[in-house]
Amino acid sequence: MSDKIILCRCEDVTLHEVEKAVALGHRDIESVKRYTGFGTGWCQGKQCLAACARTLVALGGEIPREPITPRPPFHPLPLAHLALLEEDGEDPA
Amino acid sequence: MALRRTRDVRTPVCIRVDGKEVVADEGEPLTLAIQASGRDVLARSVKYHRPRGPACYAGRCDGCLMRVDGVPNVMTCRVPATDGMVVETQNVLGSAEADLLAVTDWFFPKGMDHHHMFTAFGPLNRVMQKIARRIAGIGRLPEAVASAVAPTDLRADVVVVGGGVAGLTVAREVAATGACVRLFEEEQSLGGVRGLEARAYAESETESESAQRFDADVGATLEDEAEEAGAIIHRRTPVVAILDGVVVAHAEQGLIRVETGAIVLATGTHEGAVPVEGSDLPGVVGWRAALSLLACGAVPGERVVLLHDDDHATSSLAARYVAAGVEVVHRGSPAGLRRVEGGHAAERVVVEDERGERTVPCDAVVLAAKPSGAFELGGQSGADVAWRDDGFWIVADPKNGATRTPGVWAVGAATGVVDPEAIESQAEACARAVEAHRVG
Repeated sequence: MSDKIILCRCEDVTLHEVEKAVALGHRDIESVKRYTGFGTGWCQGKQCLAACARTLVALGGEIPREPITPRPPFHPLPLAHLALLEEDGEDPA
Repeated sequence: MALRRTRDVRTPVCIRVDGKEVVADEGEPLTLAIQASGRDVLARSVKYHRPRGPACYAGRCDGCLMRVDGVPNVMTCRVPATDGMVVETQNVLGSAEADLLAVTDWFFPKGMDHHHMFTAFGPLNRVMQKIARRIAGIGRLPEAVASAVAPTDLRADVVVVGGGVAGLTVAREVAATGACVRLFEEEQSLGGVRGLEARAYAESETESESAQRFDADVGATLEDEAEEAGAIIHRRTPVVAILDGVVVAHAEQGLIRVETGAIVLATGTHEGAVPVEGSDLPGVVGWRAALSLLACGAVPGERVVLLHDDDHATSSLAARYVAAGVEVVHRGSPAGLRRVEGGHAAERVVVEDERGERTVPCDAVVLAAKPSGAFELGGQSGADVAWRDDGFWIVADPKNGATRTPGVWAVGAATGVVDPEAIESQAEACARAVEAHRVG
């Protein structure tokens, strides 16, 4: 195994990648997320978000005013359980 | 790492893991049965194919993903073991222990930037994308096409999300006024972190003070009181979304949508990570993970490093481990962890404290990272979320949990309130505010 420091284990995002994103001008947490992909894996940032935000602050980035957008679902679930949800009052049939 | 059971298998059943027969204790987390059979590496990470093992035992990491009965990407820590289950490693070339795709870890020693990699020449880019998709594939499609399941629609006067002390207290108080209260909890057992501690130390044979601190299972008492008051508790049913005031929960059988007049978020905290070199290795587990294992009758290794800033917590776990024949090779602060070394699992840690830097051989590391509030559903339901004390927290009135959105309250650790007495009084005041909102 190489000597990477993994910040986000679900998406294998390294400290080096976050440092590079900040150096490229991504100075807020949402923008670093969009560039590196941290927090977009199985846990959706439950494990890594705070650590990534602390890293960003330590690197001189913006102090977060809000977290990354918390999109559903909070836990992974089978698509079969979503398939019959109607859209905005539309009949699923 | 060498996870080991500390008690005998009670109801043996047979499962098959990559073709090998393994004995499981019926109903125990599938992950535990697989690990107790001597396996450290359950999965491989998505980009660099680094070895992965469970870090949380709570459905909050990527360490236990496997193919179960023909379905890919199952979080095996969430699945109770039953007789005849067929478990397979996924997305490797070779085996979990020797995965040829791990060559990507060496090929990109610091990481990769997919925004600029192989982008200069179109045809090469298309070839590389195909290779990248193969490497990052997360399992083969399921063997059978799943049939769509319709959601179940329910109503409630009040929905409480999270069955820790804060959530249970609100549920009990509000249910006592005659309101229809539904409480959703992702685990089978209630009580949150305090319940977990009580279950972990329930079988403790040491009569030390530290063990007694956890004797009273406040979670179980509150659970009984809440149900006696009429609250309906949905176990193993995490709330996955709050959309336009409708609470969407996920039970094993399908989704549940609840229309409600009031939402109380008692979602607690995420345990988080300590990012140092090698901290993603199998054998490095969270503090609550270690407590979950104890509650299930298992220890994460034979030579364990304990890293927690609370000496009381460390002493309690150390006493329990020593009683189970586990050697505690180092105790200290998580801030002193410099790196974890090992081939496929933790074999050594490099730690630094007042005595200087040194290497300690071990086979498991239990570490308590700084927690951060589970804010996600707060953000979805219109509450503010703020960065404070190195974490994100739902912004709520410390007195009664009111958020800036009428009809939405947040209480307990998710809001940064940790003192047990403060949680109790906040939860009780919240219940009164909810009741006033409901009748008013």
